[in-house]
Amino acid sequence: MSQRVVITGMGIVSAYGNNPCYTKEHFWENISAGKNAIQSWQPEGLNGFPVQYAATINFDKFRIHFSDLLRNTPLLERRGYFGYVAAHLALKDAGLQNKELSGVKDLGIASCSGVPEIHESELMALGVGEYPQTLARYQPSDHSGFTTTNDSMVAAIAAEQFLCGPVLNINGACAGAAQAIGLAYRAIQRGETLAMLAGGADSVTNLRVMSGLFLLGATATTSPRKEQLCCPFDKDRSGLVAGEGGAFLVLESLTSALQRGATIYAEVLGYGSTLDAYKVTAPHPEGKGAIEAMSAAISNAKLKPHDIDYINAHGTSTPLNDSVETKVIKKLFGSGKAQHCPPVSSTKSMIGHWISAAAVPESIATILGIYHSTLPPTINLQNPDPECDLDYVSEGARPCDIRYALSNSFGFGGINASIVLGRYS
Amino acid sequence: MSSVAIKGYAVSGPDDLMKLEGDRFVSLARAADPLPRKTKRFACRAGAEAISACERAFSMAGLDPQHLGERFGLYTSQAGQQHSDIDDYDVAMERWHQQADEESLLKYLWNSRDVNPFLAIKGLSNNLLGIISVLWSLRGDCCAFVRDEVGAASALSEAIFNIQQGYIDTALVVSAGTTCDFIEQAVLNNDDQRVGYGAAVALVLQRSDAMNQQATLTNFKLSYSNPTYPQLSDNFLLDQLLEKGYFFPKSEPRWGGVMLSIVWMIHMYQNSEIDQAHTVNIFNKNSSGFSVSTSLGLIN
Repeated sequence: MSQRVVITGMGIVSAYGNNPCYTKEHFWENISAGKNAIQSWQPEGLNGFPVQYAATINFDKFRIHFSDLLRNTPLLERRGYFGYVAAHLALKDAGLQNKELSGVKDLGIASCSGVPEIHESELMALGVGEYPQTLARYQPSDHSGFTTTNDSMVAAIAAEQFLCGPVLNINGACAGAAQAIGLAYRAIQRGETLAMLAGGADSVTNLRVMSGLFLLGATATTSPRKEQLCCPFDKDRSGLVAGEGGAFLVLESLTSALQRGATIYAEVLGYGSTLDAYKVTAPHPEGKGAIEAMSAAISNAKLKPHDIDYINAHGTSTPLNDSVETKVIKKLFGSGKAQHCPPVSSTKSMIGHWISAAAVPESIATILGIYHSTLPPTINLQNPDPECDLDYVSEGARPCDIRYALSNSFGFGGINASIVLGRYS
Repeated sequence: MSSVAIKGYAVSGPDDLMKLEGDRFVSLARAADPLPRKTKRFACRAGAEAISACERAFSMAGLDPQHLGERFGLYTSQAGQQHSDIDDYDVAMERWHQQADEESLLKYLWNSRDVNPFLAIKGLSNNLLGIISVLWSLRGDCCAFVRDEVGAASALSEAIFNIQQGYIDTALVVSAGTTCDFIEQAVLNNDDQRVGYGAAVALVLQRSDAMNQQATLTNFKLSYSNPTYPQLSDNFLLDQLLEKGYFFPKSEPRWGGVMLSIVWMIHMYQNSEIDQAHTVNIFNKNSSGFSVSTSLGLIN
């Protein structure tokens, strides 16, 4: 029998935590207040790098704040520490730190990962010629093999928390975390496990990945807007602005949550994932795959498009994504007309793009929006693009009774994933 | 619940990659044609082998990949090569070494038109999913898993779940790997003389009652009594590995895993070396401490 799946815990480490305060309540206070976490940024020790803004976490303060928790952590990448802590916070929020006492023994994890970090000094070791010669010259750092394995974070969390359920590591580019939530939802729904940590962590604020994104033309580089550079749906948008962090949800079967008297924040109702089959670096111009993912998620939730009260958009602030996403929302929800569509917002405007983990903070903003009956805003939208003519909640957070919400994530490689979240009743 | 049939399978890579020992030499792997230059710019290093394996698996299944419809799923896993290829720096690399210091060298890199602009795309572990999807216009459900044998087991489980649950009728599952990752090679200090090879295995799965009536070369069904996603081994934890100073197990290949075992089993059955119905237990592990314990059977 298909199980209903609810959300009973959330943990997040974001740039808002620089105060430092790392609670979901603090995250929601900042999101609902439209606070911008994007600030001036340059790679360590360098000047003149063309990408100059990002929403970064003060890593030293973060490590001090969580020094007890991180004391015995295995060596991880920067993003790995964010995820490790976020998973701990989510389990604590759900009351699942002690799985024996809580009765939820077969807890699993579904996490995403992006491009592995590589130390700049190691990149420098690249040479000309055939591999054997290159290898002979190359001197890796002691732990480079471990920290860049791309699944070390999920293994560390699973080991530290003694997770006995499924352990999944997904790479779906910018849709990765949405897929992690979707697969965790399916695993609980079909009865494979009672509960799953679902989410991930990412950080692209290193020279190698940032250079890669810059060479691809994906990043915003120059703008008189400075910290307001991330402006989804605005005429002046010029590319993504990187963010970083870690976030996990605790998904649990309704039966298990009720049995142990857990706080239920929202319900996961549907999931859909599709491929564009168009280009690996650009969305389908008519958003074919995106429409199919959104339709599949809504249909999986046994709803109709007009049931959706709010959409948390992928909204990257890139010229292509925002106009295509607007077009597909109008097509699916309003028969081509903006006035028939539900309100849409992009929380990336405040916290930047967490790349593979992007869907988790966006899901948390949506879940808390449902919980507090408030639409999260889009900030920095000053000169609306005529092609982007939806209600983007640009005036600030707005009271709204949200029964059902959709969260969109689209990634390189033409991957699309959508999740339907709903108020638990 | 629907049963799952294996309609096609193929392995691509060096011809000595999969062979029986002694006088029973057979090669299950076949070399792949090089990728066109345009595709090679953004494809992962084992992309050519993966495409070749998919082509042959589709052909064995009697399916035209261009006409699979929406009730189709694509599930992939990749191992190795999560870093830039040296080739991607092309001409820039020669000029790179003329730079005076690290800062001017980096500035040269990000302003150079000689560097492959797809560096970020090539570093993604869902690269395979993207290129296969684009090549044959494959849409529908999808997921890319990380990494090694665990990735392959996850991809296979996902395909089986989704066929059994009725979300899809047909699935292509692909796992590809390479030993070309220069960082991994250096950490391993690998003695393997076949440095730089790529390999891939592909399976075409279909819901048994949705199978077309065309004659196909295989009618094997997968008997997964209780399919599950991979789980963490509790006696092989990351910190224990660190304490012992291990970085990577030297077993090869670290991709394919359970999927390669299936191809072996089909081959052995066809050569009358195993019974009609056969179950094996497979235990694989990777460097981060994952293990996969899988019990599966083949029914002809």
